[in-house]
Amino acid sequence: MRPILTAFASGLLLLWSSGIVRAQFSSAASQSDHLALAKKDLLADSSRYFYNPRPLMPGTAVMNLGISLSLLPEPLVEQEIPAPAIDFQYKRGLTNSLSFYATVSTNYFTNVLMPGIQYNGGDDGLSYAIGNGIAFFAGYIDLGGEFDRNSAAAIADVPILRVGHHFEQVAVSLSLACTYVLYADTHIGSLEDKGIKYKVDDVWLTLAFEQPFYGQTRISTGMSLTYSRTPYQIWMLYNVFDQYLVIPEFFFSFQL
Amino acid sequence: MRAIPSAVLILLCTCASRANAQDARSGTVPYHVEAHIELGPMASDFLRGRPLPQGASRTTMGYDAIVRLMWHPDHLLAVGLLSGYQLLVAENYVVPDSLSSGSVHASLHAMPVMFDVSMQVRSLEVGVGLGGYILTTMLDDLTTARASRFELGTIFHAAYHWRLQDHLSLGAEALVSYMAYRGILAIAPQLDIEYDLLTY
Amino acid sequence: MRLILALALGSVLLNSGCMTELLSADMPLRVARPAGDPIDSAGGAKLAGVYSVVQGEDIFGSKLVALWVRGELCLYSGSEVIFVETAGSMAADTSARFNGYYRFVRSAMTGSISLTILPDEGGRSVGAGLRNRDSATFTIRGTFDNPNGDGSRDIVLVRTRALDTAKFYIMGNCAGGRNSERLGRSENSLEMTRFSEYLGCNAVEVDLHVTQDDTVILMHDDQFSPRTVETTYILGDVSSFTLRQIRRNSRLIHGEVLPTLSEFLTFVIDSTNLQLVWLDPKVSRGVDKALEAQKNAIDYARRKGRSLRIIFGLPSPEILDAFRRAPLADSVEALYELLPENLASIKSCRAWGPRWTRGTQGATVAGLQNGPHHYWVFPWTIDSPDYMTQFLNDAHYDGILSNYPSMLTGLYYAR
Repeated sequence: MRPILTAFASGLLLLWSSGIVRAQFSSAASQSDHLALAKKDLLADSSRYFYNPRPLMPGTAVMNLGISLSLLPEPLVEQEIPAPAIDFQYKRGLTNSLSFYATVSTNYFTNVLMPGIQYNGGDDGLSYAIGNGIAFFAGYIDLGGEFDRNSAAAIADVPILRVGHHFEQVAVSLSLACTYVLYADTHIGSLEDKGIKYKVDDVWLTLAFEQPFYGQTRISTGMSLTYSRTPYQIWMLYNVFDQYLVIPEFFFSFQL
Repeated sequence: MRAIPSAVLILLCTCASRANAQDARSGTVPYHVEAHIELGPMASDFLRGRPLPQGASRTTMGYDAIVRLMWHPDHLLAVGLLSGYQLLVAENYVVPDSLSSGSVHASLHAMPVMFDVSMQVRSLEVGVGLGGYILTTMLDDLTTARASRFELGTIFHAAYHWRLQDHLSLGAEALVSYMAYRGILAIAPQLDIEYDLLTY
Repeated sequence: MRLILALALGSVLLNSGCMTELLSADMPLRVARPAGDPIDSAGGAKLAGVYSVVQGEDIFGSKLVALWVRGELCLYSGSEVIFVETAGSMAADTSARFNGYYRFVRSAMTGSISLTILPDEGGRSVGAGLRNRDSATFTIRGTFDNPNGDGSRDIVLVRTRALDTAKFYIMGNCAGGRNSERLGRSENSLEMTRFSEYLGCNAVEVDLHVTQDDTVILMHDDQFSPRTVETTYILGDVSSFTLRQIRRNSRLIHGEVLPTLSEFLTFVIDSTNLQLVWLDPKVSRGVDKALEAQKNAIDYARRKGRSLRIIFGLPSPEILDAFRRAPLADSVEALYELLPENLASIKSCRAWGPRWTRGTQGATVAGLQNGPHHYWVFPWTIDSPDYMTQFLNDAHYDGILSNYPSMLTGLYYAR
């Protein structure tokens, strides 16, 4: 658990540091002016970010397209291997407090679709969200050798909690989620393994930074740490180790 | 072992917090393509020790030379590529066994190949490189062997620059190089020459 | 700006080293026996059998398999993947006492275990050795460290039957287990080979590479890395270094000297009771040298009167081509790993080794075993108890290769 605690500590450090920054800015304008301006800009500005949990204006949407890179557990794959994937993310405001979100992640062999609904609250500075998604996972690989007609499918419930802070130039958010497996099935050739069911398979923590990069182009960057017994990224390898491992994942996406 | 990377993280957080108080560049700020050439001595610590050669010290001295090519648009971030050459250790030693009493000459080198991101606020630049190292060994033990291997790793760097001319500045930089798989942590104080190749 | 922080944070966490490592297992390299007279082999061998777990079933499962291995009592739980190694002595009251450890093989959890066989529950029979050939009903009682909390738990085992004596090869991968199994010995080492017997193996598979000076060595990976060797200067392609350079400048990760194929085979013949060795070449270069070492070892074993089969694996068309060109190809036994239709074209082929992901293939297996060549069939590499049970039940293999031979031992004999 130490890496996750470290990540939490780092997130808190960032939030703490933001307090200093906000204090510096609040001296330049009156508190009431600041709040009024913030309220006016809130919905319009927040529509730009996917991870930040500030409420979205109803009917507005944000889309991200990018890549992620997971470092596969070395004991399982016996060497250092980063696994890439293409990520697409979509969020749309349904009401002032509710938004719909969906993520798609694929590297051809491993595919995850997760739609969900989240409730958003907070102000222009600190905001939060609580949501729930259903993850549909499908994988197929047939390259011979270790990867001889391997396939897997799973459905999981994914509750998520997000906390975010909007700075002058950047929105920082921390998300905590877990994967509760509802259905799982793995086939290796003609052999079948039902795998885990009605169990929490993993817990993951995501730290995201969203900010302008050049011109009006904005980016989302950050990392996730997944604490998992059976990391989905290596579903095609039979994991025989009865131990939870931490899998780091880095992501980088452009806002469309 | 984790104290130094943690210290670098805290330094970055502090710098970032202070930098956040600065207004970001407006849309009229030009874009730059910047080249960095960095040179300096380097001390390496083999964090898991060096069981072989027998009696070898876990800390070694070498040097490094780094080149970075960075694209710096109209905000605080710059992105680019980092590469170069690092001598981690070169030494002569004797292996006490029955095969030979002759001396062995060996050296270990690294070539970082990384994606680098840095934040530039006024004269301060703090950055991190993610990627890997092409590690190369040269072993002269009766016959000479040379072999290479790519392993993942990271570089942290922080520099302060003094502008000498419109397009040229000189900096003092601290570079921390970490080869995680092999457990080698290297620290190098460097001279950083920055040149604006292109402004648009 | 915060991108820097994200990447920096990522780097720190990524490099912290603890993230993707497996927990280390605290198991001794040598088990100390309690005070008393040594148990002779004839007496200890009586303890081999299948035991019903009367107490401690929630931890060890309903059945345990016991083997007497080189003077030690080893227990195997197949379903729970637990291995127990104990060393014993006879006490003055003719009870047999054993001390040792248990190990959850996949999670690295370990603890101490103490066992006793009271005089009237089989201890007297163990102490009598060959002098008493009765078939006593053995009851083993003891305590073990509670793996789920503090204190100790009781264990009671009652022997229900003897072991199946049919010929079946329990094969340990990489000479008994990979480095990631954290067995305290390096994969493909002589020390792991010795330990493989305690894990239940009567056969091992080893991986072959070739040095720059054409010496065949035991090594799985194409490159030297921190996964396999501790060193400052030995890294990269195995074929870049001479044997002399490797040995003078590196050790295997648990400190052992990297063995050559010839040294390994001599060790197997002289110092173990293993009955079969599967040589698994990783490159086509040096096949003739490997066959030479294989042939010399077969001759040496024959001269010593040692019953040992050595088979040369043919895992790829390139290695098969090199094998066909080698002068000693017809003088040794081979195992083909690709399509079974090609088996008959390889004159010295003795066995077929299908990858387990191709399924249990009961009809094909039976056809090859009962055909004119009477091939052996060894699927590889099965590490899951569920799949292993399917393979044991659905076809009659001659042996199975696994990274968990202790699990295979437990499942095979307890069927």
